[in-house]
Amino acid sequence: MLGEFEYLLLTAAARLGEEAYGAAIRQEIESATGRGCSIGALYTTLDRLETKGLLKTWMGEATPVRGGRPKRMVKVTAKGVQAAAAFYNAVKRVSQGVAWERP
Amino acid sequence: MNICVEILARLLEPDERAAVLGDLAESHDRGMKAFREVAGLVLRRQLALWKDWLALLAMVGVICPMLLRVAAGVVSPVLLNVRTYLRVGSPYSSGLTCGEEVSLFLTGAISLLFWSWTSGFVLACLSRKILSHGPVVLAPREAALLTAVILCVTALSVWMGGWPHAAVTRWAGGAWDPRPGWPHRLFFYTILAWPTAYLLLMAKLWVGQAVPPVGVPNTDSNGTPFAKLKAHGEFRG
Repeated sequence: MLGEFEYLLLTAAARLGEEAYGAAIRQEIESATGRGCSIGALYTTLDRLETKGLLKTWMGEATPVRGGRPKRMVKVTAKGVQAAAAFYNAVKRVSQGVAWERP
Repeated sequence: MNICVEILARLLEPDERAAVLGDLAESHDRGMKAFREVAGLVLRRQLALWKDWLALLAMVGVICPMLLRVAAGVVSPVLLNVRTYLRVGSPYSSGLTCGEEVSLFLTGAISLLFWSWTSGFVLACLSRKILSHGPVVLAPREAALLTAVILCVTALSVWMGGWPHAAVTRWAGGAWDPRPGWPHRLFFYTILAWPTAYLLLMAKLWVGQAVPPVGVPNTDSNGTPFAKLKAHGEFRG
């Protein structure tokens, strides 16, 4: 079972598709959750998910806006899609019949 | 502050360093925020190295005792001098000249410096290997240079290690000779030199392999970036 942050990262990477890389994923998570995403958490989680075979990463091209430094590109694998779907379905199932309204 | 960030980022793997600094540039994170971000990642990476019991065992069981022994050898004459000076108002008379005392101290300090660095580097290599980040080795030329320096320092240390005992023998007019034999002294320093042997062996084993040694350009012999090889599944790391 995925952790919350692992799910967020996989979802952000899947949403970004071909444009998924470190800074873009970080921005996506920050704008979706409204809270900060540290580079430390992002890169260690990327490594962990890659070790589990849920995504793959490679070094992309360097761009001037990045000071000539390459991006770490990310692609969600089929196994990653399965794991994210399982997490999402579990959240949906457990949320059925629960109305999260402010008291 | 940006210089501090660059320096701190050197503790990361070359590819990761480039990606992280690029991300920071793209998101316009500068100053203290950038420093905090990089420090957080460096801390996580360093802590991950110590999760493995083998690395801890090597540190506590092998490297620490050896370095403490060398450190004690370097610091104890200085402490003895200070203590004697504080008690009787004059330095400890070891029978050595001032030049000999200084040479002995400097050789010990240089030995300590090289052995500490080499031991730390080898420990990091072992930890990375354990963590499957791929072996990180010195380029053969650098490994050979480091070995040559350590051999010279070791030879000097073995030779100079006999000076204090020789001074005692001189002071006793030859009646007492506490000097440990060459095999004894050589054995101790040979044991201490094991990280160098490891580095040389690793450098030799990985000659011609597609593994980027530390301190050399991040490309293979044809000039193809390792990152590109990695993307095409041709990179062995």
